[in-house]
Amino acid sequence: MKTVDHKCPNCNANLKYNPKNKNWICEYCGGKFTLSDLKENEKNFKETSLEKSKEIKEETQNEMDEYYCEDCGAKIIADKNTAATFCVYCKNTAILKSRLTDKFSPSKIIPFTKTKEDAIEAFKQVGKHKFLMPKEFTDPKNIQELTGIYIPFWLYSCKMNGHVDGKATIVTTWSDYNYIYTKTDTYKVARSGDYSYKNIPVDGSVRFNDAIMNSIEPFDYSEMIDFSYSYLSGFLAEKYDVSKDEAKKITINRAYQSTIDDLVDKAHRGTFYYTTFVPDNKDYNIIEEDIQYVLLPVWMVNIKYNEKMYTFAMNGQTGKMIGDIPYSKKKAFIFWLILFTIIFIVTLIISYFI
Amino acid sequence: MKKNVLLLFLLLFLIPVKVDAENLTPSVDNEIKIFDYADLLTATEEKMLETSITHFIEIEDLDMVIVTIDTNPYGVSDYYTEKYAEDFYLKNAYGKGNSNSGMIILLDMSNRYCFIKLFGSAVEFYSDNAIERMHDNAIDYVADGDYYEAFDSYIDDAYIYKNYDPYIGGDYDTPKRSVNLFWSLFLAVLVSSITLSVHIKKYKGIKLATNANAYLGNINITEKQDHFLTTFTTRVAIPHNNSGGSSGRSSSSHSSSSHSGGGGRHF
Repeated sequence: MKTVDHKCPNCNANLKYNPKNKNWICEYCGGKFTLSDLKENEKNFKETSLEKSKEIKEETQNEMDEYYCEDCGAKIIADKNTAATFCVYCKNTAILKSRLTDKFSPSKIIPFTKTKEDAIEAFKQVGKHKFLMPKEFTDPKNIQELTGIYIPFWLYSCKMNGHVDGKATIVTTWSDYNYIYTKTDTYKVARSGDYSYKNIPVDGSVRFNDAIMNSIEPFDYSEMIDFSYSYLSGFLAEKYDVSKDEAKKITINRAYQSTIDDLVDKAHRGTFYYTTFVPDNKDYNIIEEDIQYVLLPVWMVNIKYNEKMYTFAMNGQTGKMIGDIPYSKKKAFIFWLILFTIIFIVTLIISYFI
Repeated sequence: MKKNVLLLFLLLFLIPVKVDAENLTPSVDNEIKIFDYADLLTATEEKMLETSITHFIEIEDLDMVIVTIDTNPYGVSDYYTEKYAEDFYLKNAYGKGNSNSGMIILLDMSNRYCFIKLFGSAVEFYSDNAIERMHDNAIDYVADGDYYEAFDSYIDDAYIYKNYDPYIGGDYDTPKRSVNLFWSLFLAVLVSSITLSVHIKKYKGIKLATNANAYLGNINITEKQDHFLTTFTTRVAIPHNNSGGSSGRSSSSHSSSSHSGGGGRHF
């Protein structure tokens, strides 16, 4: 029997049939489709397919190169006009170039709005209000590499029902001439709620430091548009290698944390103002969920200062630049000493007059 | 019969008879409050001190007499100085009220010893700490030969330390000074360290995200339960001091400071 390979209407990946629900699920973008959806899509597809497939084939084969780093396994995509000369992650310069033939199909992209010059300028401003930083740190001369790269991200949305219950107390005290009284009322308190989250991001690259990617959040999703290879020109892109399930674990954890924190807060000081509240049970379940694979713009800046390497990242859309800023231990000590002396003298003077 | 009379006569010698040790201090007019036998003060200084002392007696309702001697008829020793002070005061009937309340300040140059003796209610008013403090403040003047300043200091202090134990009362002491120094040091170290570490924390920009608050949209509370379970009340007794309370600032002094009724200082 001839098997029909259905293509995902969103991202063109191969669809897997789900016998339980009698629909097709796309592993890349999580979209679910019924047969009628696909038939509809295929009808339209067939009409333009010949031209489209030619177009796509041309695009992928002629325009895009894939670079493979043997050292760390990173796969970097660039168009033929943008040469990748080193591995963005491990700095290895011996990378293998080949034509991009297999699927690289994110559903959406936020294009770069910040330029290389913007990144350099933002780096120069990093030391603002940080008087303990050595001034020479933000000299552009220290920049080893400045790379504009589209990082793969999974965006996870869900409606989560959270539940918290536990014991709370209201403590009141009063006194008369003979005694101090303390009354403790104990309550059983529970709160549950539906919490809706939209597009919690987690970076889809094993190599890129999750913490750095978290630190340049948030992105403005209102500027997110359908993917097209044309946005890649001039920039690098990385293919994702964090699986959807691993990604979900991380994002569900973040959602769970927010949900439970809010429920505990509502239980403790929401309706009544309890003196204490101790949660006994915390639970959650996902009511709805959705996940998509997108590319988000990031400027990666690698700094070398005083024989040490620093990584700074700038959100290629909002311009937020984050990194660990070094501070001079000597300056810190002097600052401490000055503060100490001032407070010491001032408190002595005050205590003299009390 | 003659034998019995002889026996009786002998028995008389066995009956203990109280013999008074002789009081060798001079008899004076107890309306006068300063006696400068050692000639340490000028006539003007004596007059001024007399006025001060009279004023003290009027205000504080305690008697006071200051005496200086350069020879002690009893002998040269602290014991004899103290004896002289007591004898002088009692012989000349100083003191107010039934218990002869008041004090004598005796400067004995023969053994370079200044002694204060308290009588009657003055014993309660001036603790040993107070007397020590009075000597502290005056003794340098005595050593330097500034006798007028010394007695002036004693008289001033007699006002201040009446009913005021410096150790428990607090204000004047150097012990407090060193405590203040310690607290200033501690506070300065604490505040500087906290300020510095708060500022340095801002330098670490890369932080792993633990929540999704920025992505939270709609919240819909589906369950709300506040169910009363139990209540209990405990109580703690408030201690009240019923041990024959004393009035005034030195209410705590009776239990923790001693009143020996005077004290002396060498110079």
